[in-house]
Amino acid sequence: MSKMSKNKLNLTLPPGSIDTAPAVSPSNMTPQLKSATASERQGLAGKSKTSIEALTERLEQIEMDDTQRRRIEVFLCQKEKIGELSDDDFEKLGELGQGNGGVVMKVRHKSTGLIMARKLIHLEVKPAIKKQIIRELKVLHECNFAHIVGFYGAFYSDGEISICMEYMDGGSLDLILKKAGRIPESILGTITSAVLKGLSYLRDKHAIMHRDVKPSNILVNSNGEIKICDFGVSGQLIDSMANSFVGTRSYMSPERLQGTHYSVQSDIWSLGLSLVEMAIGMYPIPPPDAKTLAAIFGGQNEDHSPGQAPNSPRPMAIFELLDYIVNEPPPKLPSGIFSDEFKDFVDRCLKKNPDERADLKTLMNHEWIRKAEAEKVDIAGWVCKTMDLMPATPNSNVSPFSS
Amino acid sequence: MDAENEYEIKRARDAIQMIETIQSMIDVSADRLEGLRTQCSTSAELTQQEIRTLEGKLVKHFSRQLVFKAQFGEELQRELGDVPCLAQWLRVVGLSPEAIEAICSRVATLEALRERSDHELRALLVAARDEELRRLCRAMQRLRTYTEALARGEGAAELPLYWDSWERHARSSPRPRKGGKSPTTPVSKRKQNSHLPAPAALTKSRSHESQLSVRPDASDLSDNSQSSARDGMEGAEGSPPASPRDEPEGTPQRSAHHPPAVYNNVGYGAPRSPRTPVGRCMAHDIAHRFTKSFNMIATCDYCDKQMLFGSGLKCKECKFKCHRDCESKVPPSCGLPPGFVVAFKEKFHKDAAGGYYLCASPGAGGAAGAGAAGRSAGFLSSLTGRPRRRRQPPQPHHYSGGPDSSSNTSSCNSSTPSSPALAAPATPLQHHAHQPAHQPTHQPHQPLHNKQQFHFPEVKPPVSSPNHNSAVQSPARPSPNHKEDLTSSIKNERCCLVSLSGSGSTDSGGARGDSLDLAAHDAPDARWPRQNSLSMKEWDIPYDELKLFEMIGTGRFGTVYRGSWHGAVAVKLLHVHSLTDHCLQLDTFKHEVATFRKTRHENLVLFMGACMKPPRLAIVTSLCKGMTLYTHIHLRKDKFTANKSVIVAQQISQGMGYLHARGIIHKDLKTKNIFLENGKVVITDFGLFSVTKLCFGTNARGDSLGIPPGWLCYLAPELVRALRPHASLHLPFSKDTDVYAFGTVWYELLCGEYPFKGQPPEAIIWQVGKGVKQSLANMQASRDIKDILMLCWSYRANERPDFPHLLSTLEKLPRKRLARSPSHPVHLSRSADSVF
Repeated sequence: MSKMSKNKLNLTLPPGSIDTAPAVSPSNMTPQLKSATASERQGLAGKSKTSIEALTERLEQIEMDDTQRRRIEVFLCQKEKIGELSDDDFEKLGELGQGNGGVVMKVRHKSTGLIMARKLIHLEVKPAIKKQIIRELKVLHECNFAHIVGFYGAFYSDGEISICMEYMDGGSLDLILKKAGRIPESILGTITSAVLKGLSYLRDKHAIMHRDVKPSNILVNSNGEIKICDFGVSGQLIDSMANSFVGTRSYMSPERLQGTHYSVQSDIWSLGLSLVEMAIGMYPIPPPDAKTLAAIFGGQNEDHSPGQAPNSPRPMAIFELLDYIVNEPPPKLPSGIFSDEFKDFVDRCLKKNPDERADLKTLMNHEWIRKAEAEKVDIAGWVCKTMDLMPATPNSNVSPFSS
Repeated sequence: MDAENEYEIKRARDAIQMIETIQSMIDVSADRLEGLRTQCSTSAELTQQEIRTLEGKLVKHFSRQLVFKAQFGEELQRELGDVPCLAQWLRVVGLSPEAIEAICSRVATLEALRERSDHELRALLVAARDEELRRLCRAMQRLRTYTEALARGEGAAELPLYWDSWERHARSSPRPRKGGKSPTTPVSKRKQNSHLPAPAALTKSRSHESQLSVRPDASDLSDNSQSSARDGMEGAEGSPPASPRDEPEGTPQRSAHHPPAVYNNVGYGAPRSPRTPVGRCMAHDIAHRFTKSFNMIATCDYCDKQMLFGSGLKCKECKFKCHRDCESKVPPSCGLPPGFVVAFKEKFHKDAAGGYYLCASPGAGGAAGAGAAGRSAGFLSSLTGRPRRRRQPPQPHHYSGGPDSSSNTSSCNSSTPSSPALAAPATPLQHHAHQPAHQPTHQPHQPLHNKQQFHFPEVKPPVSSPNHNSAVQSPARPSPNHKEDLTSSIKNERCCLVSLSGSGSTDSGGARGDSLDLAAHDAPDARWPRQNSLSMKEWDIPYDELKLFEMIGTGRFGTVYRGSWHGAVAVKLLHVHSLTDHCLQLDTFKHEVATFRKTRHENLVLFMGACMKPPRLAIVTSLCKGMTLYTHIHLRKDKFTANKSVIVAQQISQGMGYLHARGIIHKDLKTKNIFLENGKVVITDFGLFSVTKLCFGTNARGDSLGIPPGWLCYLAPELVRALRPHASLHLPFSKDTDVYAFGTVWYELLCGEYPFKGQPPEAIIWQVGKGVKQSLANMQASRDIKDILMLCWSYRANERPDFPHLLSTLEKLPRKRLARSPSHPVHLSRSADSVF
């Protein structure tokens, strides 16, 4: 592939064992991503600069297909050229959005021309705490995976922690959702597969859970890549964040709301809730009544008319909403519109009792996922169409003109 | 021709727009007035003052509408038929719905109503209460007065325009409208007033009364620009009720009449007050001869506070030293040994100016009384050819607690009867009033703060012609443009204040004495604007006078800087964005800030003033030394022993109990708002929470609510349940929610961390909203201590204890060892600030 030209070191990766089907490999490959919301991620090399060999070795153990592997490789090579990041290295290109606790800017790394997403988190903390946070964020260098947003580095300047990540030009799913109105089941299947893989990777390789799965933390790009971001890697960062935002939606599982013990199962709930939201085009709590659903679906299945504004639920007090999650029956997909497999998948995710909820492994083997993986959905095409993007060119990351 | 036409059209359009603008201002003010009458305790002085201010504003607004409307032809007038709205006016006046209906059914427009005499009004209101009739007559008279003033181009004149529309109990008003004094005649107002005892008289404490007489005196003597104001005063509050005497009709040349008038006033007053003139005559009456002293660093002999370099005065004869600001308060005790000075002070205090007055010749007496206004008095007396008096007169107003008559003479400045500090702020007022004429003379002695707090209307020409009042606004300006109008109305408000202070109160007065006492003790503070409850304007600190140094913190509503304003202060600069959209909130804010003035407690930060001019909004308080409890607990991880925790908690309870007793809800009690200064607790930021409404733009994010770290833990269940992504700031705060927050502080003290530590906001919201409490299982503390916690955290608000109760519970806690009460070192922040 053309991107090979970027592989200055001419690295090759031994083919690794790969899961059933590579999660959608669109025609183009390349690490050029955009992370709309904040995220941190990926990148093994980074500062630690373990030899590329060591890295590739590790990559081998991970289930990815060749394309994905190559992309990561390229990403790591680019990253290697960057070195220590600082405030002066960047040129602002625009604002991508407000992440939890900070703003995310689209920036260009001046010396390399790389486009990145830079999340700025305002922190007023002592130097010791800063250092601790930066240290904790280093874990992100180790998170290199096809479904995890790449991480270039983090630094502190002027009272703000900056986290520099791969730029994902398709943006987050909540943005796409706003544009598309709804997301078709087939696309959702592929997305879910990717998210499940990402979550497993985090759990298996790094023993971390995401803690904040929601549409705005799932990013896509014009290559058809799907990556998760913003997972809770730094406890200190979470503790130090100036403000947290609580809005009209919450993806938090009942057990977490109740302050009891929680685990990765909690992420499953959040995923299930996100799926329902993306499928019907509105946050499903409280559940839409039949009329609203009829208005949304107009009687036909699988039709997503962009721009359709979902009827917004009556405004609830935040507590009311949360109490609904804890005490009312969990949301589900309306019948007759989605496949039974999809419905079943969601129902298994949205069990209020975390023990009854399906676990990651079960879900990855769920029929709906297997079907989706077999299907080879053109995510790239859908992203580009929805977000009016030019299909990505290899290594478009270097191109200053992307979006 | 065309051009002319066009001009006409444009003028008409402008006028209509103007009228509409005024209408919207009326709506706002009327709402607030309604709120004040119905929702606030109208017995509170602050409320009354606010009501008066609003009444004044409304009269002006309505008058302006009338005047504007009158400028236009029939057609336009018809178009504007319902403006100004009669029913609204009547509501503003404070009539019952029935009365309003009765009037509206018989009178079509406000203009028509304006033409009715009091008699006719009475006929309209047969069924209504006396009080309503009184209000209507008074309000109509105000309206006429001001409309006429406007027509004469004297819109800026200082007229008392309120009619005291709050509900009052008792008080048979002595002056039930005896005969409609010619309500229709503009000129008659004065006369009328003297006939009709001002309603104000009923409620006011004698301090007002005293001022009243003083004022006129002052104007007489000084021949300053007061005539219009004083017209008003006399009329309105004026002259001692029941006084039979008609004052000379108010002509521009009033000054000519004044001396007698003054004298008369005093005379009236005297008989009525039981203690009147009796004690006033002091044998000793030798004024000091102060000179500026630049090299002193000494203690003020008057207030015992330290004097800073160059800020003092020294008597050439007896070496008595005092602040320049105290000068006016120092009795004419030159030559008295110190011990006697004290006695003299006290005596003086009681007798107020009266004594002085008597000592002086009658004519001078007037001057002396007027002298209330410190320097101006001096000036006055100098005018009257008694230069030596200069220094003496000042004190009277500060002491003017005494008998009516005496206070009459003396206390023109003390505007708010029961506010402790009145005297001081009043001085500036007075200055204001007299300023134009005297400026040059006064300047040298003018206390610093005077300058700061008052902006003299620039419009006022420094003319001392007999009719300065008219000079105030050029008659040639019938329809000033909007802005001008606004500014002039602002000025008017100020002027109103002045006249307010001069307003006569019939109360005879014990209360006064008290307040004076306070004033005396707090002398340094007394000069501060915060002391004066007249209006917030007075502790408006011009932004330019603040010096800002480094930032010492940021909060939800702004950034805190170390600053300097007559000493070290903390300045909270509010982040305010589109203030234009927030006029109402701004108003609310100002109003709330006004209540801080009332606070004075060891454990509360000293509120010093505020900048009220958007976009410069700032709150100035004394600077807290030390660190916040938050810093101690969460950053430094300092451990608080049980005993120390209890001591801290006690002090918090004390401060909060005081705050609550003052009717102030903190709304944001948290460890970040509690300072520990050498063991002494200082609570800050009370009542400011609603300010966030103003500043919410900063972290408003579409559909989500920004939650600062730790904040949720302080929110009582009823608050948490009310949180909304939008508009979540309208939270049902109460004293009980403050108690809940105190519980959390108590927990932090004991455990060194927040309850629900590490849980995401949503989880806290659900749990607290559900009544789940932080488990105390792992907490090592006695049962009693945990009980307090659980009580404060009671789900039901009414089950939470109040602060006095908490305090006594805390005091009863067994101590492991003898815990001594914390020593409270002198806090320079307070005293130093107050020095100047």
